[in-house]
Amino acid sequence: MTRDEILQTIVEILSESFELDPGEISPESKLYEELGLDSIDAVDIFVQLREVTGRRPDPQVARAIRTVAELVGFVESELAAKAAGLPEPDAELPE
Amino acid sequence: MSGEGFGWVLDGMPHRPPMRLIDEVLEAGGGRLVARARIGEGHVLLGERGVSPLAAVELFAQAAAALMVFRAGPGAPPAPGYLLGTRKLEMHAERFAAGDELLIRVTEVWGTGPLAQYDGELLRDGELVARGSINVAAG
Repeated sequence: MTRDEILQTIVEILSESFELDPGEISPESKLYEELGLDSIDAVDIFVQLREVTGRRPDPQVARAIRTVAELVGFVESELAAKAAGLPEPDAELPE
Repeated sequence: MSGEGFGWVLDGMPHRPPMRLIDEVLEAGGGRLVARARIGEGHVLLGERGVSPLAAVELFAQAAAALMVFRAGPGAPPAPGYLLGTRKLEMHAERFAAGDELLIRVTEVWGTGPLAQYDGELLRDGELVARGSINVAAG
């Protein structure tokens, strides 16, 4: 996937999942402050990105992401990690 | 892990009858859990028209709670948890009736901190009657 294709995929995920206007989503958009998302929404985003990348997202990396551009960079690095055959990060699930 | 010996999982859940809708844990391990629930005559959700299939959401949540107890291990203190909601739910039954036996399967999808998503399937007589994803919070 090219960077533009990744961005388009993320815009589709955000607009379809959270009823956001695609025209209001840019790489600079801040997920929480500007798009009004919260940490529960973030779980839905990363579960859908897992289907895009084929890898389980690293929870610590996911928590640090704040903008759409950072999401794009995250997907790029995950796709590269998959191509390199790197192991998936450990799951982090509540007990 | 399957078979007998999951009583401690039910005991470790914060839910208590009649609001604990799961009667038995059949299998657990590898990020998934299978449980059984029976709709008895005195079921807390049983009305004149039976039990709404929306009960599937609560059954998924309780099965996820049971899986968290299993992951924590025997003797861990019961931890509160919360069903946050669902964005995806398919229902293929109009209602459940007294006498129905339901099989619940939940699978961990992903989590970060106290938040997690689980996929759930509900079967009656081997037939899929509901499927969806739930978001939960623990702690």
